[in-house]
Amino acid sequence: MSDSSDLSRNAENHLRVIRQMMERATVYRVLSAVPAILAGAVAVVVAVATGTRSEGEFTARSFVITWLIVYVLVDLFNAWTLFREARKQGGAFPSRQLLHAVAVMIPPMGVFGLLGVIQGWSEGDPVTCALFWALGYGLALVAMFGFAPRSIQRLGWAFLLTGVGWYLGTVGGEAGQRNSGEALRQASWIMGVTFGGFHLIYGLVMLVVTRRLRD
Amino acid sequence: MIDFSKLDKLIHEKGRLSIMTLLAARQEWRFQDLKTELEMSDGNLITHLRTLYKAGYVSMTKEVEKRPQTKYALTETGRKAFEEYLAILEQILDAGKS
Repeated sequence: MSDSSDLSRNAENHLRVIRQMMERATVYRVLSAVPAILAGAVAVVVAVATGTRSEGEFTARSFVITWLIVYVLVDLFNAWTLFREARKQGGAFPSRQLLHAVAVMIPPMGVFGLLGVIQGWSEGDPVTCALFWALGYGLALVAMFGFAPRSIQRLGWAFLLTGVGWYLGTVGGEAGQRNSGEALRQASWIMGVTFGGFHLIYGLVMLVVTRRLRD
Repeated sequence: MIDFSKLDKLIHEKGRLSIMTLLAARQEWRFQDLKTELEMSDGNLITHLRTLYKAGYVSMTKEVEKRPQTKYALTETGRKAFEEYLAILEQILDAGKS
């Protein structure tokens, strides 16, 4: 009797090992170190460039266009990196996991992305635009909790908490101000700190951790 | 009645079971990636891989890209053995429940 229950417990332990390993093998990193560092660096440079422009020379519409271009370029680079990694490992591109990740990211990023564009383009409010983008991106990363590594979720929470905190701090302040120089500076700060700073920190940490594990 | 003697002792060791599971989940693994996922020492991992290779469960390919690297994959024999092992494990659990 005890032999049989020992065997059953042993089988359960072994199945647990199998489950853990399967989960590890299917964890998918949608953003790796190098594209994150590049995205962060580009965002910081663009944020400094847009934040230091003088009033009148730069509008909320230019803000929206500039950041949409940055977004497309950075995404293309990330897709190219994922393509190279997939080829190296003999896998398909786009992989099933990548398609799943994109499907999860589209609703929050699509909704908040569009709301941000409307705020910036039609309402001339760059601060709310930047906050919507940070919140949408944060929600998209957090939504990948089922299959993304913890570092991606932490990055998502950093965006979410900073976005909410910044929003609460600017209610009645720069948020809602149209095309003012101060609002554009504030919006550039938001983009620089979140998309710039957080991606840089994430990328550098990933680089150090991966190198250490490989050595 | 479950025939426990059919439980593959080679796979029924946590380190090798972890390796077999990873190899079953993805087509090919580089040595460094296996080491990272399993958090095993080089020596330990090499010993387990060698055992699985000798049993014909694992195939090994050496490649030189930027630097030499060894890739591992499950062979047909290995995949069959792993599936049989899982089936017996399931039977043990079912027997434990009844």
